[in-house]
Amino acid sequence: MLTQLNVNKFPARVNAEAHYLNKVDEHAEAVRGAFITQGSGQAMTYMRKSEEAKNPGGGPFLQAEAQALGISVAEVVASVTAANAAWEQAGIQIETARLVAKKQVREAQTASEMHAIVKLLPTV
Amino acid sequence: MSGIIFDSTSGEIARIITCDISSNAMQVQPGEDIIATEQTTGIDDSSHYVDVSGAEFVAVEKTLLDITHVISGLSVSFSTLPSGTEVKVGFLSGFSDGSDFEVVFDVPGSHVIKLYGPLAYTNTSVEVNVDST
Repeated sequence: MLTQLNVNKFPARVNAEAHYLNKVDEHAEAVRGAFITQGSGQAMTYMRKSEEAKNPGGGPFLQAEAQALGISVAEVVASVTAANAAWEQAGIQIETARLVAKKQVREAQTASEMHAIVKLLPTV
Repeated sequence: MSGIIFDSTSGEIARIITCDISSNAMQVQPGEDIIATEQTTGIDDSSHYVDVSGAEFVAVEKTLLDITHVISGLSVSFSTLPSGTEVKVGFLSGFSDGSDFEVVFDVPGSHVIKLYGPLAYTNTSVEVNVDST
Protein backbone atom coordinates (compact mmCIF):
# COMPACT_ATOMS: atom_id res chain seq x y z
CA MET A 1 0.00 0.00 0.00
CA LEU A 2 1.25 3.48 -0.83
CA THR A 3 1.17 6.26 1.72
CA GLN A 4 0.98 9.73 0.24
CA LEU A 5 1.75 13.15 1.69
CA ASN A 6 0.50 16.05 -0.41
CA VAL A 7 2.45 19.25 0.14
CA ASN A 8 0.56 22.22 -1.23
CA LYS A 9 2.07 25.66 -1.15
CA PHE A 10 -1.28 27.27 -1.89
CA PRO A 11 -4.52 26.51 -0.03
CA ALA A 12 -6.56 26.88 -3.23
CA ARG A 13 -6.09 27.36 -6.95
CA VAL A 14 -7.18 31.00 -6.72
CA ASN A 15 -4.30 31.73 -4.32
CA ALA A 16 -1.83 30.20 -6.74
CA GLU A 17 -3.30 32.25 -9.60
CA ALA A 18 -2.93 35.52 -7.69
CA HIS A 19 0.63 34.64 -6.77
CA TYR A 20 1.72 33.76 -10.29
CA LEU A 21 -0.10 36.69 -11.95
CA ASN A 22 1.94 38.90 -9.68
CA LYS A 23 5.07 36.99 -10.64
CA VAL A 24 4.38 37.68 -14.31
CA ASP A 25 4.11 41.42 -13.63
CA GLU A 26 7.29 41.37 -11.56
CA HIS A 27 9.11 39.55 -14.31
CA ALA A 28 7.98 42.03 -16.97
CA GLU A 29 9.09 44.95 -14.84
CA ALA A 30 12.47 43.35 -14.24
CA VAL A 31 12.99 42.82 -17.97
CA ARG A 32 11.95 46.42 -18.70
CA GLY A 33 14.63 47.48 -16.25
CA ALA A 34 17.26 46.23 -18.68
CA PHE A 35 16.18 48.87 -21.19
CA ILE A 36 15.03 51.83 -19.14
CA THR A 37 15.58 53.43 -15.77
CA GLN A 38 12.54 52.64 -13.66
CA GLY A 39 10.42 55.12 -11.77
CA SER A 40 7.29 57.12 -12.62
CA GLY A 41 9.16 60.44 -12.76
CA GLN A 42 11.72 58.95 -15.12
CA ALA A 43 8.93 57.50 -17.28
CA MET A 44 7.39 60.99 -17.64
CA THR A 45 10.79 62.38 -18.62
CA TYR A 46 11.24 59.68 -21.26
CA MET A 47 7.80 60.43 -22.70
CA ARG A 48 8.51 64.16 -22.84
CA LYS A 49 11.88 63.64 -24.52
CA SER A 50 10.28 61.26 -26.98
CA GLU A 51 7.72 63.91 -27.90
CA GLU A 52 10.40 66.59 -28.26
CA ALA A 53 12.49 64.30 -30.50
CA LYS A 54 9.72 64.44 -33.15
CA ASN A 55 10.79 68.04 -33.72
CA PRO A 56 14.26 68.39 -35.36
CA GLY A 57 14.90 71.38 -33.11
CA GLY A 58 14.03 69.41 -30.01
CA GLY A 59 12.48 71.11 -27.03
CA PRO A 60 13.51 72.31 -23.58
CA PHE A 61 14.54 68.86 -22.32
CA LEU A 62 16.62 67.96 -25.36
CA GLN A 63 18.16 71.41 -25.64
CA ALA A 64 19.17 71.27 -21.98
CA GLU A 65 20.61 67.79 -22.51
CA ALA A 66 22.60 68.96 -25.53
CA GLN A 67 24.01 71.81 -23.53
CA ALA A 68 24.79 69.59 -20.56
CA LEU A 69 26.58 67.00 -22.70
CA GLY A 70 28.28 69.52 -24.99
CA ILE A 71 26.77 68.06 -28.16
CA SER A 72 24.37 69.37 -30.77
CA VAL A 73 20.60 69.22 -30.40
CA ALA A 74 20.51 67.17 -33.62
CA GLU A 75 22.73 64.53 -32.00
CA VAL A 76 20.51 64.38 -28.94
CA VAL A 77 17.41 64.09 -31.12
CA ALA A 78 19.04 61.22 -33.07
CA SER A 79 20.08 59.48 -29.85
CA VAL A 80 16.63 59.78 -28.28
CA THR A 81 14.92 58.66 -31.48
CA ALA A 82 17.14 55.56 -31.71
CA ALA A 83 16.68 54.72 -28.02
CA ASN A 84 12.96 55.23 -28.36
CA ALA A 85 12.78 52.87 -31.34
CA ALA A 86 14.77 50.20 -29.52
CA TRP A 87 12.61 50.55 -26.43
CA GLU A 88 9.41 50.41 -28.47
CA GLN A 89 10.43 47.12 -30.04
CA ALA A 90 11.45 45.60 -26.68
CA GLY A 91 8.48 47.08 -24.89
CA ILE A 92 6.03 45.52 -27.32
CA GLN A 93 7.66 42.10 -26.88
CA ILE A 94 7.66 42.41 -23.10
CA GLU A 95 4.04 43.51 -22.98
CA THR A 96 2.93 40.78 -25.38
CA ALA A 97 4.74 38.13 -23.34
CA ARG A 98 3.21 39.51 -20.14
CA LEU A 99 -0.33 39.44 -21.49
CA VAL A 100 0.02 35.97 -22.99
CA ALA A 101 1.52 34.62 -19.76
CA LYS A 102 -1.25 36.09 -17.62
CA LYS A 103 -3.86 34.56 -19.90
CA GLN A 104 -2.11 31.19 -19.62
CA VAL A 105 -1.90 31.47 -15.83
CA ARG A 106 -5.63 32.18 -15.64
CA GLU A 107 -6.31 29.12 -17.77
CA ALA A 108 -3.89 26.82 -15.92
CA GLN A 109 -5.42 24.19 -13.66
CA THR A 110 -2.59 23.66 -11.21
CA ALA A 111 0.08 25.65 -9.42
CA SER A 112 2.65 23.52 -11.16
CA GLU A 113 1.40 24.58 -14.59
CA MET A 114 1.43 28.22 -13.49
CA HIS A 115 4.98 27.86 -12.23
CA ALA A 116 6.06 26.41 -15.57
CA ILE A 117 4.49 29.36 -17.44
CA VAL A 118 6.41 31.89 -15.36
CA LYS A 119 9.59 29.88 -15.63
CA LEU A 120 9.39 29.95 -19.43
CA LEU A 121 8.97 33.73 -19.67
CA PRO A 122 11.63 35.19 -21.96
CA THR A 123 14.45 37.16 -20.42
CA VAL A 124 16.56 39.89 -22.01
CA MET B 1 30.65 6.82 37.72
CA SER B 2 28.33 7.68 34.88
CA GLY B 3 24.90 6.44 34.00
CA ILE B 4 22.51 6.41 31.06
CA ILE B 5 18.98 7.07 32.20
CA PHE B 6 16.32 5.95 29.76
CA ASP B 7 12.62 5.34 29.34
CA SER B 8 12.18 1.78 30.60
CA THR B 9 9.42 1.06 28.09
CA SER B 10 10.77 2.56 24.86
CA GLY B 11 14.47 2.67 25.59
CA GLU B 12 14.76 6.34 24.62
CA ILE B 13 17.68 7.98 26.38
CA ALA B 14 16.50 10.74 28.69
CA ARG B 15 19.83 11.98 30.03
CA ILE B 16 23.41 11.05 30.80
CA ILE B 17 24.58 11.65 34.34
CA THR B 18 27.91 11.62 36.10
CA CYS B 19 27.92 11.30 39.88
CA ASP B 20 28.89 8.82 42.60
CA ILE B 21 27.21 5.43 42.65
CA SER B 22 25.07 6.16 45.67
CA SER B 23 23.52 9.14 43.93
CA ASN B 24 22.77 7.37 40.67
CA ALA B 25 19.54 5.77 41.81
CA MET B 26 18.27 9.10 43.10
CA GLN B 27 18.37 10.51 39.55
CA VAL B 28 15.97 7.91 38.16
CA GLN B 29 12.34 8.99 37.86
CA PRO B 30 9.28 6.72 37.73
CA GLY B 31 9.10 4.99 34.33
CA GLU B 32 12.85 5.25 33.86
CA ASP B 33 15.78 2.92 34.37
CA ILE B 34 19.53 3.32 34.39
CA ILE B 35 22.60 1.63 33.00
CA ALA B 36 25.73 2.32 35.00
CA THR B 37 28.71 2.78 32.73
CA GLU B 38 32.27 4.04 32.78
CA GLN B 39 32.17 5.48 29.30
CA THR B 40 29.51 7.84 27.99
CA THR B 41 31.56 9.78 25.46
CA GLY B 42 29.79 9.85 22.12
CA ILE B 43 26.56 8.53 23.58
CA ASP B 44 23.48 10.70 23.46
CA ASP B 45 19.83 10.45 22.53
CA SER B 46 20.44 11.38 18.89
CA SER B 47 22.95 8.63 18.24
CA HIS B 48 21.97 5.86 20.68
CA TYR B 49 19.04 4.21 22.35
CA VAL B 50 18.76 1.48 24.94
CA ASP B 51 17.62 -1.93 23.79
CA VAL B 52 15.07 -2.98 26.38
CA SER B 53 13.94 -6.14 24.57
CA GLY B 54 16.47 -8.48 26.14
CA ALA B 55 17.16 -9.58 29.68
CA GLU B 56 19.97 -7.05 29.91
CA PHE B 57 19.70 -3.40 28.98
CA VAL B 58 22.26 -2.38 26.38
CA ALA B 59 23.02 1.01 24.81
CA VAL B 60 22.92 0.53 21.05
CA GLU B 61 24.03 2.85 18.29
CA LYS B 62 21.14 3.95 16.06
CA THR B 63 21.01 2.74 12.46
CA LEU B 64 21.34 5.31 9.69
CA LEU B 65 18.02 5.83 7.99
CA ASP B 66 18.07 4.68 4.38
CA ILE B 67 16.87 7.74 2.46
CA THR B 68 17.03 6.21 -0.99
CA HIS B 69 14.40 7.97 -3.07
CA VAL B 70 13.22 8.40 -6.63
CA ILE B 71 12.06 11.74 -8.03
CA SER B 72 9.45 11.59 -10.71
CA GLY B 73 7.93 14.89 -11.80
CA LEU B 74 6.66 16.51 -8.64
CA SER B 75 6.71 13.30 -6.60
CA VAL B 76 9.39 11.89 -4.37
CA SER B 77 9.07 8.19 -3.52
CA PHE B 78 10.75 6.43 -0.64
CA SER B 79 10.59 2.65 -0.58
CA THR B 80 12.92 1.82 2.30
CA LEU B 81 11.54 3.77 5.22
CA PRO B 82 10.91 1.63 8.27
CA SER B 83 7.41 1.59 9.69
CA GLY B 84 6.82 4.50 12.04
CA THR B 85 9.11 6.95 10.28
CA GLU B 86 7.66 10.45 10.38
CA VAL B 87 8.01 12.34 7.10
CA LYS B 88 7.77 16.11 7.50
CA VAL B 89 7.71 18.96 5.02
CA GLY B 90 7.21 22.26 6.76
CA PHE B 91 4.26 21.85 9.08
CA LEU B 92 2.85 18.86 7.20
CA SER B 93 3.73 15.33 8.18
CA GLY B 94 2.79 11.71 7.68
CA PHE B 95 3.96 8.36 8.97
CA SER B 96 5.35 5.49 6.97
CA ASP B 97 3.70 2.13 7.50
CA GLY B 98 6.73 0.36 6.06
CA SER B 99 5.45 0.30 2.50
CA ASP B 100 6.18 2.88 -0.19
CA PHE B 101 5.85 6.48 0.88
CA GLU B 102 5.29 9.25 -1.64
CA VAL B 103 5.58 13.00 -1.12
CA VAL B 104 3.74 14.99 -3.78
CA PHE B 105 4.49 18.70 -4.20
CA ASP B 106 2.30 21.18 -6.07
CA VAL B 107 5.17 23.39 -7.20
CA PRO B 108 8.59 22.54 -8.61
CA GLY B 109 11.75 23.64 -6.90
CA SER B 110 13.93 22.73 -3.98
CA HIS B 111 12.23 21.24 -0.94
CA VAL B 112 13.56 19.83 2.32
CA ILE B 113 12.01 16.61 3.58
CA LYS B 114 12.76 15.80 7.21
CA LEU B 115 12.71 12.17 8.28
CA TYR B 116 12.31 11.18 11.90
CA GLY B 117 13.02 7.50 12.17
CA PRO B 118 11.72 5.15 14.85
CA LEU B 119 13.85 5.01 17.98
CA ALA B 120 16.37 2.56 16.51
CA TYR B 121 17.09 4.92 13.60
CA THR B 122 18.74 8.31 13.28
CA ASN B 123 16.83 11.40 12.18
CA THR B 124 17.90 13.00 8.96
CA SER B 125 16.73 15.24 6.15
CA VAL B 126 17.00 15.23 2.40
CA GLU B 127 16.83 18.16 -0.01
CA VAL B 128 15.09 17.35 -3.26
CA ASN B 129 14.70 19.32 -6.42
CA VAL B 130 11.47 18.50 -8.17
CA ASP B 131 10.43 19.86 -11.52
CA SER B 132 7.54 19.05 -13.79
CA THR B 133 9.20 20.35 -16.92
